[in-house]
Amino acid sequence: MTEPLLLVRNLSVEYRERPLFGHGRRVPAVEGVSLEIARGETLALVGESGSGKSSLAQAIVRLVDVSSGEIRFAGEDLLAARGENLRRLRRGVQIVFQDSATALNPRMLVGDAVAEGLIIHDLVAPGERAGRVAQLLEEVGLDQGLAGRYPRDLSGGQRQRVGIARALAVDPALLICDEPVSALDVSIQSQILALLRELQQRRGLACLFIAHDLAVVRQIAQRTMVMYLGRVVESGPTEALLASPQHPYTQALIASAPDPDPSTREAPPALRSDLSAGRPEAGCPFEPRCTHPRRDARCRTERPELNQAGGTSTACHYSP
Amino acid sequence: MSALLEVRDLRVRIPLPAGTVTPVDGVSFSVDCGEMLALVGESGAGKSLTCLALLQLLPAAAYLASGSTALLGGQDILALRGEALRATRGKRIAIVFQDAGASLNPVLTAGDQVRETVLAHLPMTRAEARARAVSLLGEMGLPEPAVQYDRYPHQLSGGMRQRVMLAIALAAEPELLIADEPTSALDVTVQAQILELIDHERRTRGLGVLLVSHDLGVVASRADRVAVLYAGQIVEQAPTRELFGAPAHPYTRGLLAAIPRLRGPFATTRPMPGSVPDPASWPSGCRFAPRCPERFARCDALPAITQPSVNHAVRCWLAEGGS
Amino acid sequence: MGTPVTSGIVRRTPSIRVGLFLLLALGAAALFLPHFLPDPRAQPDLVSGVLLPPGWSHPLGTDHLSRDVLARLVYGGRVSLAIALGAAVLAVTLGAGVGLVAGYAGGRTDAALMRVVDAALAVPRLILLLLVVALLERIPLWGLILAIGATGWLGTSRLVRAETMRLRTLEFVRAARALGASHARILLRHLAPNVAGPLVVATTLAVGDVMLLEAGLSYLGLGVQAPTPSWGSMIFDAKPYLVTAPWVAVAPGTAILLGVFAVNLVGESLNRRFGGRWT
Repeated sequence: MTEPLLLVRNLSVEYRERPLFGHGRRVPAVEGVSLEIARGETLALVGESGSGKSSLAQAIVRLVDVSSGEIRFAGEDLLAARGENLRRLRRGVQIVFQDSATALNPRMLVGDAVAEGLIIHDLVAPGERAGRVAQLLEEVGLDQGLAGRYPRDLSGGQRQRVGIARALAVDPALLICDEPVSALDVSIQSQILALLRELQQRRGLACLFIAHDLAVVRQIAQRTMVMYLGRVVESGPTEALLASPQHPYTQALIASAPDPDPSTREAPPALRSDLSAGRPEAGCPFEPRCTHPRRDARCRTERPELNQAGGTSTACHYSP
Repeated sequence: MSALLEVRDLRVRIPLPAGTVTPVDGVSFSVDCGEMLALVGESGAGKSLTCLALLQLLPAAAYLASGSTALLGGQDILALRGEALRATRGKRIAIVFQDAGASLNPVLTAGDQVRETVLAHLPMTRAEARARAVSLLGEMGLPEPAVQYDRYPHQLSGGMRQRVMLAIALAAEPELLIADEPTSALDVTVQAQILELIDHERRTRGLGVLLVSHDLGVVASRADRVAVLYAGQIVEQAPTRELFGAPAHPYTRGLLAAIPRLRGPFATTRPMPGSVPDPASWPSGCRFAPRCPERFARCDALPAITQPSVNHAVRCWLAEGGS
Repeated sequence: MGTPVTSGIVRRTPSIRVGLFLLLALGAAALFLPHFLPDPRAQPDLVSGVLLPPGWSHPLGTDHLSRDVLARLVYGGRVSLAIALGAAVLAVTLGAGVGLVAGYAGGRTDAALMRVVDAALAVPRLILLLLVVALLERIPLWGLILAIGATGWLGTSRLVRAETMRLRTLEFVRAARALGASHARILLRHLAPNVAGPLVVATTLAVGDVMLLEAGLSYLGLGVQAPTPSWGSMIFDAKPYLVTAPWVAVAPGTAILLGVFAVNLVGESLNRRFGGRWT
């Protein structure tokens, strides 16, 4: 059996305050998460604010420190890599951010931004760089003339395409997309999703797609993982997960999602509070908000593990 | 029931070095008591400017073109000035913005901000106003409202802050609530609860609501009528079911086709090419024509609004039966 | 989007135009006028050419050693402007360097560097300069530039550090790291260009500051030494004759005023125009 392209085992990420003297508090952002992505496959990470999905993505690209766990990329230990080795591995995993005013350096021409990867890794001769940049821009559906413009002259959708071109410049095998369409209008969102699907097919790109919108995720991911307060609560093939969600949180997410169909006017799910009651020290992280009929003291003391049941894995004592 | 708010020919102009642009160009709509009208459009369509214009909160350089009227209970609020304007804002019309974090004063407690609004518009003593503020916070779903009263905005979560904003907006018992993307910055589980709150107020107090959103999903489940804004103009206006069930304008159809659906059988969304044009470069004919899959010769002229059926208005040559 | 547009700003902001015009005028005068003027060190007529009021042969009169005031003013301008520019650039460069490193590295490096800055800030700059200058009796021009520059980088470093810390968290910096950019590349190619905005403002204001500082030092007799003219030393020389021959002091005083005003005008206008926000 071939090893998956990306293998993450028991990853934990903590943020720690660092004053000049002494140690600071530790805030866990990701706790004990494991996942696998095969070549050419798209896995979606879904969660709301505080779920840890962005921290997880950044940990995989080694933008933040990992406190424990293992990350293997293309068979190599990504966490142990240093210097030249790390730089080489970095080419394989690239990240595309949510469009914002700051995803691109405002003082850098679009062409230079796209060419940065080429320069850092010396992938093409200086004379051929402009040509390669033009190719990349075309690949993401942009006019080549945009290479001479600044990001502020571009629309949100165009900037997002530039961000994708920048990532593609180093020929990665895995593309991590951190909420790439959340800030875009629906019609532009649709365009970018179509572009990502196309790139996946053409380049055989694997993709870790992070979002909070399940409907968007359905458009692009074969498998989906739902995260809550740093832990995975449910995971499985996207259609199966959406058709019969097992975990109360997943059910709540689906029920809350507004449906562009006026004939379905459902009441929002009854959740016990939307106010972050802080992360529970022990037990199930969702317990403070859970309204499952069988919720009990065990949920407060014992942390549920992921159990395989039918098509999906669920971390709940009483579901299914 | 006569319309609570009737907007006719609203036009906002902004003089720029390259020439004057009109980002809101002849917008007309109405909202009845107890009704929710959704103003839908993508970024750059002019939705937020429309809201700001109604309360005369436009940025300094922008101004209302003459001929713009907005009748609230028969009175033109665009003609109000000074004390009369101040009395209308907050008391008769209230507005809630997208990011409560930016709209709340960081150095005042949540409760004090609600209380100040109450005091500004209702004749009460400070103690009475405080009590009312506490009860309002409770109505907005904040647990232990007396405790939350003394919290500062930065101590509250996003959802809580938005509830505080709502409390401030409703404090003086307005007739009309303008909600400009009230839930876009919130998690989806929280979003549903805030929308339910707004809906509840609408049902119980007869509050008229103008909801501005780019999220058609939110609109479908809550709004009574929908007006679609494109490039400064309303291109389609209809009761919600009719708009979603039988959209008449190609833009509306394109938008609906581009929305990813969570429920029902899976279908890949169909993207619309192009994007909303910049006000400085609007075509002289139909503004959607450059992107329209059904454009034809007549589209070189700007279409007028027609009514293919009662309550359903479209700005498109195709709706006239011509093709 | 909200990214301010820098192109065309000179065209669009009148105060910057005025300020720049003044500066250019002063600079051009300093560079080209000397051709047409007598030697500032010449003392042609110590008998009856002393303290002459402004007239045809000496547009700004003569000083107590019969030296042409206009000539001294222009030559002194060269000196004063050179010091001002040199020291300002030095100070801002040092400050930017320290600020960038501290802001980017964070942690203990940052904390240590900032404690050094805090300690240095506790000593009044003028006192420090006086000490330095007084200890070294005859100090060459470049020494003065060095001393003033080396004592003036502290404020800039904090400014740059704050801005760097903010920039460091932005996505384009993270993207650069993900691409494998080295720390040097990130500092020079990504962070530095984005702090350039506040730095331009800081530099213009520093130039004004230094001009006044140098004038003050020279006025106290500690800055530029005779016979080299500088605007400050000219005022120093004119002290005994303030009442009898005021033009000898008024000329350099006005020059300082115009210079500082022009530079501050440019700096303040840039600051106001961009409201401190350059990205």
